[in-house]
Amino acid sequence: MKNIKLWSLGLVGLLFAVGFGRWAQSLFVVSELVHFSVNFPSDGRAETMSCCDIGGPWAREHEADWNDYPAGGVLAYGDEGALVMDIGREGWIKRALQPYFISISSHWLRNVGIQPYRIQLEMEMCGMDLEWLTFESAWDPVTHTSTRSIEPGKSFNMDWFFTIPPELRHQPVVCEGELRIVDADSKLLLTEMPIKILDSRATQ
Amino acid sequence: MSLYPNTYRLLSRHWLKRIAFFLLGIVLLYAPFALLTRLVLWVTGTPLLPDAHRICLRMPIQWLGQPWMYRTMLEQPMYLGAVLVLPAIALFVGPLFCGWLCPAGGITEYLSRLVPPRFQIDLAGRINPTPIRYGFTAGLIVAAFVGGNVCCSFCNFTHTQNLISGIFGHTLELSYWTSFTAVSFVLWFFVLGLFTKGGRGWCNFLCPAGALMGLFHSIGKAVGLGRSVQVNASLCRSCKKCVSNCPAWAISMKQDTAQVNSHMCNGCMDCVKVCPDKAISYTTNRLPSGEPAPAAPGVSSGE
Repeated sequence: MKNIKLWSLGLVGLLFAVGFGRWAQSLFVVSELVHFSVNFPSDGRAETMSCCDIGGPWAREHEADWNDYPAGGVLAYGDEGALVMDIGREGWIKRALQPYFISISSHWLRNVGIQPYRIQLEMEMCGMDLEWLTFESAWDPVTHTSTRSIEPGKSFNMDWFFTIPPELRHQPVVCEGELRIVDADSKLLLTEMPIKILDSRATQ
Repeated sequence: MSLYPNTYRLLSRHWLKRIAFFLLGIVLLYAPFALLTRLVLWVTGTPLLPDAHRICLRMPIQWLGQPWMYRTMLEQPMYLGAVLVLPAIALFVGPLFCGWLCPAGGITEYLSRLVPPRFQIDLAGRINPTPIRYGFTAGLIVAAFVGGNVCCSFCNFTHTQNLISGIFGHTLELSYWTSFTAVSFVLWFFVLGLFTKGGRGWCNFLCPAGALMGLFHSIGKAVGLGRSVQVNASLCRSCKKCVSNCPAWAISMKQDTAQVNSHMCNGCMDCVKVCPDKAISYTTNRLPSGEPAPAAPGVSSGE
């Protein structure tokens, strides 16, 4: 009986963790703290080479397998496409606290090429004021440029915070912006990723 | 400090010592200081800013289900320290990190002492947190397979870091809330913190780091390795002062003698200080045969 009780309590803990985790992730991936990864370079093509998935896909399992990605490259897992977040799908707590204070996060601005790059990030979100936050020490916050080279297979990280101004609220498509990753030395575009902010609760 | 007059008189110096160590924990591990983290990042040439996320123990535990993620330790070496050093310490000398260094637990424990007991939930002896904590830790690992994320969405270390950063003027992360961080904060700080007797409800139910260290501590005690808090049954008079003062709910009475649950004990040693009969001590573990175990490396045998 005592063993049954112990196992039951353990099961309660496990189910609580799983249940909370599923609830949190359902909000993570669509609205409240969307994480995404961006692979560069993509030969300057406008077509995105970026993915949305928590944990990020590894474009290569081993560095020895690097080739001229993106041509012929593959993703380990995840989807390619624009980053889409829907503030209409925020949880009720977020909607009550700060529905228009948004954050998006990439811990995986990943160099999938064959040479190191110093990157400059350009984020355009319909003129909204952005706050940039990173746990990288090699970062120039004025020019939004990494001060170290990112080796093939390695990543850089950045979080962005912004508040949707009143004039952009309450419409189905709040903003269509983009993130550009530029070679800080040659100024060539490495990749760009559309970012769409939607509000599925808004009416036309 | 009249809320716990008798306890305060016995424990005041001990508590001040523990508070000093918790402040040391902040200085060593939390931004804007993070001195230990800075040292390791400098030695290893890791180009990251030092804060509590560099020593995360939750992610390496979750990665038991995602082993390919352990390569992250190559870029963030302090994860290796957290996943190797802390369990090793727990194995030999107990989960002293929990009871003496972890500010996430220390903050709620000591703030809870300012709340009148009549406003607090008293769960000690009413529910066994050990299986719940182990189950939660298992759930943290399993959740990644079933479309869940517990690791970062339910993290009191992040809340502690954000609070400390906010105190020193870096308020951006503290100002941003999601549904799940709001729930976890309320649970950690208020429900299981300030308004739970002992202030360690989160630690006792929901901390995977504590679960891992408790497991290693129990293993050490079971095989007679290292040291732990133990009760001398011949001296115990069943006054239950240790039971009522244990923030980890690790002590219970069995046949009129206090018993320490090594899965839950966090090594704070409040019980050692509060026992009027000196029946509790932090001493060498003994083999099941009763013979003293060989001393742990660098630790002398006996009290």
